[in-house]
Amino acid sequence: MNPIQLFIISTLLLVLGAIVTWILGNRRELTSKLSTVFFALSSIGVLSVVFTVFSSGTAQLNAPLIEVPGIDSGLLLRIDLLSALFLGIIALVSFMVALYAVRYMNLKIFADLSLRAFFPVLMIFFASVMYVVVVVDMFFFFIFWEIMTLASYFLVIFNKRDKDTLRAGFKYFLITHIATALMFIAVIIIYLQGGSFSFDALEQAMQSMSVSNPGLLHLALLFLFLAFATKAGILPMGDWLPDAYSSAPIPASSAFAGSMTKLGVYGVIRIFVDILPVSDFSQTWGIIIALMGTISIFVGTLTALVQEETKRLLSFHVIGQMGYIFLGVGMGVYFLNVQPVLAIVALSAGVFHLINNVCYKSCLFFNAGSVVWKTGTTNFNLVGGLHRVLPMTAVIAVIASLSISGVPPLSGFSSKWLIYQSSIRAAITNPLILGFGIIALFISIVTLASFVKFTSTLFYGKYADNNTKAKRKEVPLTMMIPQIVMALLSIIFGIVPILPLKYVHKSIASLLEADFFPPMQSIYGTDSLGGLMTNYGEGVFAVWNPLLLTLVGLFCILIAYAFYRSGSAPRRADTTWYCGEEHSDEEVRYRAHSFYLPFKKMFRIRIGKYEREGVYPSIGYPKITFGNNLFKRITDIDKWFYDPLVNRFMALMKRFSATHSGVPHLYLLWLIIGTVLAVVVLFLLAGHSGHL
Amino acid sequence: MGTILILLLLFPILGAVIAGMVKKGTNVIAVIAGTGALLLTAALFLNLPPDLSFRTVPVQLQWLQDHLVDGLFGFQIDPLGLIMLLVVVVLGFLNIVYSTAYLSRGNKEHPTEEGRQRHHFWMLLFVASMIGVAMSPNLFQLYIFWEMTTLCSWALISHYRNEDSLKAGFKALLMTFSGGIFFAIGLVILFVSTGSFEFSAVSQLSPELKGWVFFFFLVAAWAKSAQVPFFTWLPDAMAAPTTVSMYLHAAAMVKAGVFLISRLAVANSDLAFGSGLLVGIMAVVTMLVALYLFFYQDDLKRLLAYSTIAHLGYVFFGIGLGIMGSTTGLMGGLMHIMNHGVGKGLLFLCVGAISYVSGSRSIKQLSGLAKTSPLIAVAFFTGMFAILGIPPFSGFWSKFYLLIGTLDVGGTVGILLLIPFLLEIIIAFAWFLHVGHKVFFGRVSTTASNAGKLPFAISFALVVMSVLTLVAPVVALFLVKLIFI
Repeated sequence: MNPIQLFIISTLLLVLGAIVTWILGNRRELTSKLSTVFFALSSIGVLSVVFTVFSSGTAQLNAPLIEVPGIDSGLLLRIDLLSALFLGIIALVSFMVALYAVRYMNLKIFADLSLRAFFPVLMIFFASVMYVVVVVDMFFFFIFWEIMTLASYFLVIFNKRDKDTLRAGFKYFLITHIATALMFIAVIIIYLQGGSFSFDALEQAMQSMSVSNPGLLHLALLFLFLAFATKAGILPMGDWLPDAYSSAPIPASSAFAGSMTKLGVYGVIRIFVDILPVSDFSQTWGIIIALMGTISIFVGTLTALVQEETKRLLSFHVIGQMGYIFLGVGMGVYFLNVQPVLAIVALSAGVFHLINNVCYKSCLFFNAGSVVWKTGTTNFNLVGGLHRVLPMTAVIAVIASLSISGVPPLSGFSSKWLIYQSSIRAAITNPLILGFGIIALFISIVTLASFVKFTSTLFYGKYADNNTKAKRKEVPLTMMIPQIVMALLSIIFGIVPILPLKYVHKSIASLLEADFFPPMQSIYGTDSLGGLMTNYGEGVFAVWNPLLLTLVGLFCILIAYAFYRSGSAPRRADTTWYCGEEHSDEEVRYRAHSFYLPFKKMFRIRIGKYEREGVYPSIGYPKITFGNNLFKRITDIDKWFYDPLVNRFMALMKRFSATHSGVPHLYLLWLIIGTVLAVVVLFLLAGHSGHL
Repeated sequence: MGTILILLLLFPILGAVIAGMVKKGTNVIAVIAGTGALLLTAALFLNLPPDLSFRTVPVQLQWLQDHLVDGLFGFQIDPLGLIMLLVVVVLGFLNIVYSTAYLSRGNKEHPTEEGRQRHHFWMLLFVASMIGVAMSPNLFQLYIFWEMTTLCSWALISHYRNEDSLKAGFKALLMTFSGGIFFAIGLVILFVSTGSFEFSAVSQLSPELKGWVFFFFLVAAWAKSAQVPFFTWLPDAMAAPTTVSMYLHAAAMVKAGVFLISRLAVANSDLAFGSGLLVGIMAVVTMLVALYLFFYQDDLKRLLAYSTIAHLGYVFFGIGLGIMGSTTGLMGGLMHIMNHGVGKGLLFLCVGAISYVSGSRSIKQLSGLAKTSPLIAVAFFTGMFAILGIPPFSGFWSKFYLLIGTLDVGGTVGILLLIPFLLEIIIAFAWFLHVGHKVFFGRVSTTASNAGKLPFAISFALVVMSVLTLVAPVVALFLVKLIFI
């Protein structure tokens, strides 16, 4: 079986699963378990496709599956290395999410919501996500993109009872709809130049447009960028994201963070690296992408700092982390035309960060889900000290938190390290990019700060009494495995970064001509124990050897532990000392609300009546009322035209009908008048023509 | 072949007469008539040549012989006519099935069986007239069936015989008939100048006359399809039973207007750019006016009526683009006849089902219906996505083609048409989504909590129509492709 066939079968399995779980929708336990089976099978299928493609190269269909009449477009599938990379991520995330959802979606809080609105939709969602990354025809790209949006919208509004959820769903769907309308226009503009929707034709069309009509091409690229940025949650288009993510049930949020937002990056890479010819356009747009990324890093992460809800905090970090990815990819696009070696490092850094992000961000969402499982809340202020009941989750949350904050030797650090150093190296050609790098570097500290809050208020400190279901032990295995897998990946990718980077490099390099980028060995070196040694063709620029460093670190810890043991200081457990005052634990708890108050004060803006907190530019809902205004009155044609017309006509006819009085004499009179009139008319006519 | 076509026309008429006369079992007769039409259409498809066209015009009128008219009455089947025919027959069948359950004592809004026979009689007669419109080989015959539909619509709108519906029926009759006069004028000028009633005869006119004749036909079509400035009859016509609103005011009758102009646009490739521009601009104006009036509607049916007005604007828009030179745009417009018919028809059926189970159509009163009537919710959202243009549902395909067409026409005209069109798409999307949320999600309102059960016939129609929103674009694409070979 060739990879494409296997891929189609795997995705059809998901569709079949959607139908089956829909039919059996009322049997909650059964559908949950069945859906995991379907997800497992399809993930296995897709992962084997991914391995085949990485080992034996691009797989593609020779003829389109469906051809659309009237426009030159066909459903053509091609799994190249970039598609394979994303497919791998999606397959992994889909299975983890499904596994996690089995028990999670059977929580009591969802008891009165039909699972028909969850598992079948989730399957359609992942199936369409998979197709988005393998089609090579813009029209079908668009269709699958929209099916994905539709499915994700239904996942967002899963909790239909809640007004805020509905509002979030509405906002999400509307904003993305506007964005896709823009994408529509952009794609059509390019299509009309090239005459076909296939990626190859778009490439040629862009080539010719860059000479003949650069303004229009810029417009099209702007629209495309906005559409992808919207999906990725990049500001200012990402306003929907925090609301939507925090409204969706945790597995769905995790699925979004692990796949859908990442497709924004896929789109950007596909369009700006693969399809757009390397030219001045790459330079301009590279800077724009990097700039928007940096703004998102700044705003998203700072806003995350002051959140008091787990899901919201994580959602804002999605924005911030997508910023890092966009920064890396933007720099890469910029350097394509300037210095390919830097370009590939920056692009790989961005994509590598994306992979790491998928791991630790899904993991963190799962952690938050475990807290919900245990306590039923996502509010930081209501919980605390959960490490006593969720010891494993607490450890994993720390690992994921450190990873997202970029603490070595975890995965977040290795990709950020690449982003930082390519931006530093870029300073030679463009100082602006150095500025981006510096902002990214410093915001990393803010990330750490906010995750200190995340872990310490949720898991550490005093155990909060109002954890209602505290009797229960650690979360069930099906919810544990996804967390463990993701955390392990975060560790492995941190210690042996070359392992994933190898595939990332390969897939990025395959997008352009074979010798456009220098070979991998010449950039990252070969003999650094799985670490990295960057070389931009002018000698070794920087070295990162996590394995060595980890060993050294472990060794130090061992020594410290030896000191501790040899000192054999006694330990005793006691209640906290409140300086002699009598307080209950609850009173003196350091709540999430109290964290980082100076930050909140710093970003409080007040202009007259207008007051807002934080740097996040959220769109409010304008209240529009529709009165009886001029336009309404004009459009009410009945009132000023038809009704008077008919009424007058009727009045006129009434007058006529007065002649029908029933009096014979009057009728005779009409007869005589009529005859006379007829004679006169005839006479006049005859006078003109001269007969009679 | 000819037999099938004659039967296809006569079967519903026969059904109408019988269903109107029998004492008992009028429902059964009506369903049989509908099924018969459906089967005959299937037979028709099996007998058509690969290019799906067939034409026979055997019947003459002696007194027009002098003018060398080659036959006046007959049948013409071609891809364009088939688009219309399929909409008419398939939706007509579903509509009749639906109405057997809808016009019953179980209906909370109108718990009466009175007038069911009358309804079936006029409805089947209407189906026959629409079949006639779809199969007419020339403008003359088209005109006759066109006015037949006007007449049936008057009777059907006034179905409940209360003051509102009588007034609405009269208004609809008056406005569409006034438009029909323009049709007649155009027809006479055309015949006098060219001696022909053929669709393609417009091309033989002198350029000046061509513009005027086209304009007269256009006015007739605007009135029939409820376009600005003749749209006001359609919202009032919502006083009719929902089955009538669904069939006449979403799927079939209002499509007669756009069908006439499509016939002309397809048969005459040399219409002036200015004519196209006029069609396009008025279409955009209609869309925006209808869109603006969305916000004032509390009655779901009236909201749908305004949406229909806007969507007929889409079809005109596509035809306008076609006349201005974009085949893709024209394809989009023609496809939308079917795509919109299915989507909006489904929405009307849903609203009918809502009023059936809850007795209300008010957006204010309804909320949380998805909890009590999940099937209606699923069907409504399907229909909604179909008309809002979310892939893979039907409306998306035509909208995409229309957008390509707009940009294809390009230039200042293209941009000026594109911006309001996009605006309409997005705002209509937002408003319908808002309404969908309001009616189906959130807290369950008292009206919604009393919702009863749906009878089988209604559920059946909803499910089939939901599936059709996915099938329709495939069929429509296939047919429009054949038009332009």
